[in-house]
Amino acid sequence: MNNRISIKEKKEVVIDPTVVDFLNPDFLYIPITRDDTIKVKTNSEVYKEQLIVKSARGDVYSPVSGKVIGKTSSMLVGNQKMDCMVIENDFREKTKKRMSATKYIHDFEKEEMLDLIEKYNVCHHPITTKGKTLLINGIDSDPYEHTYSYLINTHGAKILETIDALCSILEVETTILAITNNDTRNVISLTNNIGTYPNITLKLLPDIYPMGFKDILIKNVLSKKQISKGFTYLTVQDIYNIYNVLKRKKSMTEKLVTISGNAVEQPLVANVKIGSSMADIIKNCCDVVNRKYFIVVNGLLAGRTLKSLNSVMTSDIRSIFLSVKDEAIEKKCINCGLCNSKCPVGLNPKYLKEHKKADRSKCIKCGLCTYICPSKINFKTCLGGKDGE
Amino acid sequence: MENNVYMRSNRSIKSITLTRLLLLVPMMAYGIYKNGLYLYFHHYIGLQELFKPVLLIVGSAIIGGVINLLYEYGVKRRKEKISEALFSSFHIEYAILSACITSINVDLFIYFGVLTIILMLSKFFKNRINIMCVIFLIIYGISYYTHGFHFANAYETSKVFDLEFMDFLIGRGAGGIASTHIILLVLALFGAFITNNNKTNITIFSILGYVIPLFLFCILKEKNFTNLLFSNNYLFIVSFVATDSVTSCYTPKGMLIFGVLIGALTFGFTFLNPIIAPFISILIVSLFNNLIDRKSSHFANRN
Repeated sequence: MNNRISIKEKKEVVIDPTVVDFLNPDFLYIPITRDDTIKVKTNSEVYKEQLIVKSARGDVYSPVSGKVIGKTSSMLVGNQKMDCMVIENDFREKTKKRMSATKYIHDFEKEEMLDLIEKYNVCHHPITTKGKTLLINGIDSDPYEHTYSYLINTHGAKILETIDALCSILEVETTILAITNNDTRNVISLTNNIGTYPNITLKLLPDIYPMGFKDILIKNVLSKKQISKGFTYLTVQDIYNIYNVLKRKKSMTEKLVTISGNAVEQPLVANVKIGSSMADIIKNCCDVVNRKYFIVVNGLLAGRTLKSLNSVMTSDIRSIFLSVKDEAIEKKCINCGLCNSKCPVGLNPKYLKEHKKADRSKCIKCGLCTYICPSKINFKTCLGGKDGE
Repeated sequence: MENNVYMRSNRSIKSITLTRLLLLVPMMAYGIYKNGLYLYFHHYIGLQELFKPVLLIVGSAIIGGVINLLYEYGVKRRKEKISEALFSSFHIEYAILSACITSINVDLFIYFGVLTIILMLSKFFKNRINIMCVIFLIIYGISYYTHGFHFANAYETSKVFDLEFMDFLIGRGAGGIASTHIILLVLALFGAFITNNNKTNITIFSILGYVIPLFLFCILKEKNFTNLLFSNNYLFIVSFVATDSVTSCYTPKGMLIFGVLIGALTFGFTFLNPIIAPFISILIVSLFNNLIDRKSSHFANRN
């Protein structure tokens, strides 16, 4: 049996090659909890990148300059209603002081760098100081996602420079940047530039699902010896954020996000402000062709459904899909075994569906079993386990 | 968070059935030539019997399709497209495969009667047993007690053959209507393997489970190994009947056990009746397919 899955439908989607900017929303929403310390007052002016909330989740900096007009509880964050600080954009992008390059990023000490990364809360994965290998994921998790691919394409030089700096600062032995072999634009540009950075190994991997998932990538790229010696796993998004922090002391205020799905006329990658309303993003960036859509974030196969577009764009969102639900009738299992043979972590989804007490902690929730099932059985409802990438 | 499905592969019961049947077309074409055209042009049969192989195959497909439609629209009252209702289960495939493995000498009335009744009954019984085996065994039983059952067509009955290895490869051996050409069978199996539409592991282990004891037996008793291996449709049966998706195992270990058991049991039953030996073996083993899968999954899960 062929264990690899190449999502064929992917070829039918032609994505706009240029990044669409949506950096001027009228209002921005900053989620706040009771434990957070709010550093600005209502009706006060805020500068762009000014510290506005001190939180256990990490400090929050204003993505725009403008005026704090109060609080709202109407916005959703991951399907839950949360209080949000509302900032009215003045469209001036005023900063307290113009940030310029402070020093050459290779000159940072290990502790100094880690402190800065922690302070600005820009890295979604832990950095191991004793790890001997640095693995950078440049592969999008979902077949329709192009966020990492566009990030490498737009900021390839900065990403390579930062990886090289991290490599010397963290004193790692091996540094691997993984991308898919059919990501032609990035393969060409990175191959041309990587000669300047002999420490970085470019790893081209087949475009199969779910190669972009952390566990699967590690399994496919690192040897058992490298895993046992310790490694640091980061994504290109983390690397780009680290670059901004080290070079400009700039927090993560904007990010690339893929907007796609069969209810969207033209799929695209947009550069948006964190804290924007998803409704604003959709209204300003794309045309919706089917109003009976569902909102899915972070992948059509493995993503989660949002209740409403009245949600806040947070730093962990890589993609927004407006898609019509698959209405295929679920049939009785035909015992074909495809779910079992295709499972990237070697689980038996049929067995897990039938046996509620069976251990499902290995499941990475990639959704491949549901995708491949010829009887159209939805395994997502019965498989739990830890989140994927 | 609510989990919903927004993306599906285009793999379905319809695509699996159509692919498997398409791969069998060369074998069916050869069967129509061998049991119809060749016999007619060499004056072994009349014009009426020329169409018998085509009638068996096409008639079976129609019966399978009609039963699916009647069940979906009449019993279940589902409002789905005709193509989806037609391929709502594997009944068309079961019907055509039953025609492929049956003898050209079968009585049409008995064949279509049994096929229709069993396919209809199978829709109402949730017990997952191999329908093709049940159909064949009933037809065999009725034929045996009415006019006798044998695989040889009019030409093969008229002569005494000493077939060699190559003869079996190009389909000269006696067998079902469309199950004798080994080269075409291997090509169909290869096609099914690369398109992921067959549990090839079951075929391999069934052959191994049968060939190894058979080989030792032939050495000890000085019997013709080739004859015993290629006769009575065994290779076709373990390639397309035993691998029936619904009634076979699906876990890697389960498929291994399932295949080996079929092979070993067939070898044992061959001494009683070589024609029905593989069918009885598949029928018996398929009764335990869920148990085998459950135990092997449970074992794999514990480790």
